[in-house]
Amino acid sequence: MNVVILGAVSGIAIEIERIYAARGANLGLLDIKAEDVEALKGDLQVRGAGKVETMVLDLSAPASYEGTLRDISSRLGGIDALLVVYGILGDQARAKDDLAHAQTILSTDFTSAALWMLAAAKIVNPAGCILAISSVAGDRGRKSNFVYGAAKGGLALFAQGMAHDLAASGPHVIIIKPGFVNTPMTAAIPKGGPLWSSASDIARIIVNAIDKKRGPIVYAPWFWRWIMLILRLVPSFVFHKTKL
Amino acid sequence: MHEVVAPWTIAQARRAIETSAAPWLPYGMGRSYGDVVLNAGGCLIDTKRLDRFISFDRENGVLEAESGVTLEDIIRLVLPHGWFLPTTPGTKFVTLAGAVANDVHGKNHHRVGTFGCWVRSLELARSDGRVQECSLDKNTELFRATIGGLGLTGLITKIKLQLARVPGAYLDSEEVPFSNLDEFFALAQQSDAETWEHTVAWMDCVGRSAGRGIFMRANWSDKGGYDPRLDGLKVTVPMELPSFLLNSVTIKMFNELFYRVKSLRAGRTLQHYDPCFYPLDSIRRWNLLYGKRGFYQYQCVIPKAVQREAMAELLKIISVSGLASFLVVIKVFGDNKPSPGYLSFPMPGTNLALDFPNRGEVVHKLFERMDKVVAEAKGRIYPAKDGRMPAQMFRDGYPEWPRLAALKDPRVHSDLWSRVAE
Repeated sequence: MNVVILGAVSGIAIEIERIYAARGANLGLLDIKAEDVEALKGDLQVRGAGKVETMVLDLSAPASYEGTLRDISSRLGGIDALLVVYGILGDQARAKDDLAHAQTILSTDFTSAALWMLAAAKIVNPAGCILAISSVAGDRGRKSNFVYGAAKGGLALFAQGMAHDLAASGPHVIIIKPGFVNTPMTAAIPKGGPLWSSASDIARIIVNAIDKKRGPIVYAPWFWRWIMLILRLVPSFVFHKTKL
Repeated sequence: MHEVVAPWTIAQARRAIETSAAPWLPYGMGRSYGDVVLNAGGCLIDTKRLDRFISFDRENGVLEAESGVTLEDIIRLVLPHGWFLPTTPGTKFVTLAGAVANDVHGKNHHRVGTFGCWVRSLELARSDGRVQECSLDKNTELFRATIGGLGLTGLITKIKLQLARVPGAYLDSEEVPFSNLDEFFALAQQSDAETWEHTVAWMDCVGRSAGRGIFMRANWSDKGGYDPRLDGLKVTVPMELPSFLLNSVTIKMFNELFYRVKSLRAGRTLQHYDPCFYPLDSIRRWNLLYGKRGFYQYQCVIPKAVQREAMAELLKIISVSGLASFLVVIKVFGDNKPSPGYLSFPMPGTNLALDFPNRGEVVHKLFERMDKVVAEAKGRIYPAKDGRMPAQMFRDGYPEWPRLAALKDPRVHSDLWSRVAE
């Protein structure tokens, strides 16, 4: 199986790649940090990966979306699964004042991710899968992180539409909505409590979703679906009194 | 309170140790029992994310990996190819560097020595920015100070380990009951003569039946295949149990039951390596069974020359105290392969390890009496399990400790070190 990951060095991506490496899959690793990608390649090869191809580039602003994907596809001999895993959390307070920062969050987490998915629709094996990572933050706009939340929420809607569009022909489209995950992205947030998941928990859910063609919307872990349902139903006159 | 830094790459880890304002200490899985891995008021470098494999020579069983890789990760990778750890401690939830820094030993010590005997080389990063490759041929002194060096020589970043060939994932295992210390020593000698590779015994130290136990011995078997079986069901202790639940009466009952059940089932079986080597690993957070007050472990080794007398003396002191321990492990160490480490715990003789629920002052008094016996016998206590050994015991037990002190990284600090060496 040929698996391509955009954002290969991110916390969740590493765990996904390790699962596929143990299965002997061929991997395409794309990320911006060259030396981290090389160390990762070595680790995955020891763990049993087949062919491992790497590309170093700025995923939020590639020279050509389609060109990049065709390149990695020809090096691996096709793409069976394309995973859009890169993203930035950004700083909500800063984004409100500094529009350039807001633009970075929106273009990295939404615009570029959506364009990768559109490009992939024509290149990924129709029997295969396109998967992107959204967030429960995208289920309701909240004052604490609505710039990030909107980007992720938008991506979820986009994926949902693509899933409908490609339902008859394939590839299969999945959007994953994780809750709190312990990765470098959340390094600054205090952790603890039963709601926190590890990167490997989420990775297992993702690989399982691809294996079983679940979705298109998959909450990770499952209980977030119900938490967010309740959160979405709270009327604004109540919600506006909170600091959430 | 500690500041905890968890770098995601070796480059980040090096930056962290070079720029840390507070004294720092490497921290792996934190399985050491006492203050070996504590650094109050300072900084802990959590190495869990330094978990990449670098290379694996499947023909010769040589593995190179970053220091935060766990023994469990290693088994998962190498066992399907016919390799295993050359020796292993009683839990696989420790990091590779942790195993080296404590120079851990296993049930086959009398055959293969300690973990440190099998380290081909390691890479060490220090606060001054230097990164050195250490082995028996290169930076030898630093190599020998780092094995068993409790993290004090710097941050180990990479380790190259020689693995051992195994014929399968199962062991041919036998359990033999014995009724006193003399019978234990006889079994130990007989097992050695019959070339059993892995041996250990559980012993009852409570009341009148003190000295009886179950002797376990095992050899790798070629039956059963190579399945690491690491994804089985696990039980987690949900919260601290009330302390009154673990007392002399209940422990006595446990020991009685354990001895009887094991005696009934004595004999040979084919056992998977996981329950054989790692019996407690399937109960996550088992330390919570000891309740809020926790427990103290006393692990010591008595030199061969006086082992019978000193062990008998220790058992007498323990049974007289009325304090009960239910996890008592006794094992004979060998002299086949001395460790390269300056601070290595095992020596030819007998090893005794006990857990006592923390009952405050009475436990400390008991340990002081045991210290006297150990010191007089010229034995020593295992730092990885220790939380209270007096400084003099440490210095007498580890005469090479000044060599470690000389090579210690000046910015590294642990509470154990200030307790015993400063």
